[in-house]
Amino acid sequence: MLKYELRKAFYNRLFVFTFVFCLLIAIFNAFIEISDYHNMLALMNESGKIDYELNSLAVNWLGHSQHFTMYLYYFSIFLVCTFPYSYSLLEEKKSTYINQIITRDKRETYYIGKYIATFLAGGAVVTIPLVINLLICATMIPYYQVSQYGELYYGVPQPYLFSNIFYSNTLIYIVLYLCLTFIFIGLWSTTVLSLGFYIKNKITLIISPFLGLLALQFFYNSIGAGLLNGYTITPLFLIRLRSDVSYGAYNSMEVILIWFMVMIAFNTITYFLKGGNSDVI
Amino acid sequence: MLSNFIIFDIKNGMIRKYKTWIYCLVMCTIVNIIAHYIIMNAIDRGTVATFSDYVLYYTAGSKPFNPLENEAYSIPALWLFQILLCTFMCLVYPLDDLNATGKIRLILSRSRSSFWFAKCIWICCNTLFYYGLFYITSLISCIITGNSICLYASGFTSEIMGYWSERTLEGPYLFEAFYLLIPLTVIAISLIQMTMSLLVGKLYSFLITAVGLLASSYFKTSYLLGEYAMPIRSNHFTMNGYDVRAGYIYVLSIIVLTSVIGYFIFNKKDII
Repeated sequence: MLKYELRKAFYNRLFVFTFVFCLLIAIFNAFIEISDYHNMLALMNESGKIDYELNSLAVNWLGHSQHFTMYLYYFSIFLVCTFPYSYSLLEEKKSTYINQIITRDKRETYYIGKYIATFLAGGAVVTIPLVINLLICATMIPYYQVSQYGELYYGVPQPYLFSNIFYSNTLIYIVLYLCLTFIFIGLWSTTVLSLGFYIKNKITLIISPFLGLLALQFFYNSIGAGLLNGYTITPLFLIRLRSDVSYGAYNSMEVILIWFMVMIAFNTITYFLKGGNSDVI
Repeated sequence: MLSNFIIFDIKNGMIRKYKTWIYCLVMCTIVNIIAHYIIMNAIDRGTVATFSDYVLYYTAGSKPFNPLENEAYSIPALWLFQILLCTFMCLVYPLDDLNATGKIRLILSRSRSSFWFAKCIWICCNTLFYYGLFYITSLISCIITGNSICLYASGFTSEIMGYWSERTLEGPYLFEAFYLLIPLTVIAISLIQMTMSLLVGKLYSFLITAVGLLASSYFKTSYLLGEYAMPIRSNHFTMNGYDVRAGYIYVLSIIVLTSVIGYFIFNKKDII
């Protein structure tokens, strides 16, 4: 059943289109970063003072970029990660396909298979383009380990999550954030899947959690930022590799863990308990 | 014929969806309470707030991002939210109706134009009602709190909300032109979205709308429609801002053009 669900999640039109959308942003960003790197290198050659750290791959790729493409990517991933498969349960209930499956196989196998497929599809559609961007940039931009002297330029201040790793081994920092992105986005996709028990319209199911995120960001900007000493609680900023210091957004492991727990608890109660007991036929 | 379609759409797409409007009203109230909380902090410093200040709080947008100013770009979450919520409401009903009883009405009426233009008019009504709710809630907040019901926005709003820059003009600002320009811009965006949904589907048309709005807040270009839904980028607020009259002409032309183009696409679409 898991194999079948994975096939449905990864071989569908929406997955392909969404992947292409994310990939286009990633490739476009890679060209900008490489072009910027060459321009910066030419300027530094003219002045005779080359700063290798500032031109390192560690700070010149999509995850660490300061271009519009970075803002666009991290803004849209919470919407697009739900496109591939988060609506599948709702669709299959509507089309009564679920009745055919549950009467032929174990209900638990079906639900667990769908949950894992949604998690992997959501995480993969967002994380793979990031990895591809990193690899494209790595073909042209050399990697140098960055040091704490350039903290102001890198946007990774002391309170930022894993900042000590960033200044000791940036590659591990990047890998950690890629894993964090994969897990967070995967869980977000499964949360939307669980919401399918309450929301009966496909478009509303996919778009309303994203609007909820924007509303949460607004509340945080208006009230929360001052109360939380600049620590962000909104997912739009939690999984970014660099901080928007002037905007007062630091992330922390505590907040990320709370989000994980909330999403897992919601999924367990709604998806597994409610789904396991729901009368399908 | 057209009037029958319009009445049907208003009944089904607006009146019967009264629960959505209740949620909207709750949202408007919360936004205005927060606006009041922030404005009151400014009043403590001896400034008088106006009705337009409340409206400016959620419609202002963001100042254009300049990477050379060494500032991080901040997503204008409230501005994006209030526009995307409206475009989302305008997105769901038209195609849902087409897939439900719309097909039967299309066959019986034998008029695709009536169906399409009724949907365009429904979007206008929906958006105007949505902004009407926001404005009325702001007006009530203003009256309850004893602030001035004035169509000028005070100078402090742009300052306390971080919009102040060297290019910002001195207040108070004439705001009355924006009460209609903002809803008209959102109507144009929603019409483009509805037309696009015929070609690429509802999800991708919403994604394109969201990306377009984010781009409008990041870049300063008069070609992106989102610019005209941001009063602080106009020549009333900023030097070298967009001309409000030109904004009206541009937005109205887009509304007419999109309705007509959308009609041709809808006419060619294989529906049944």
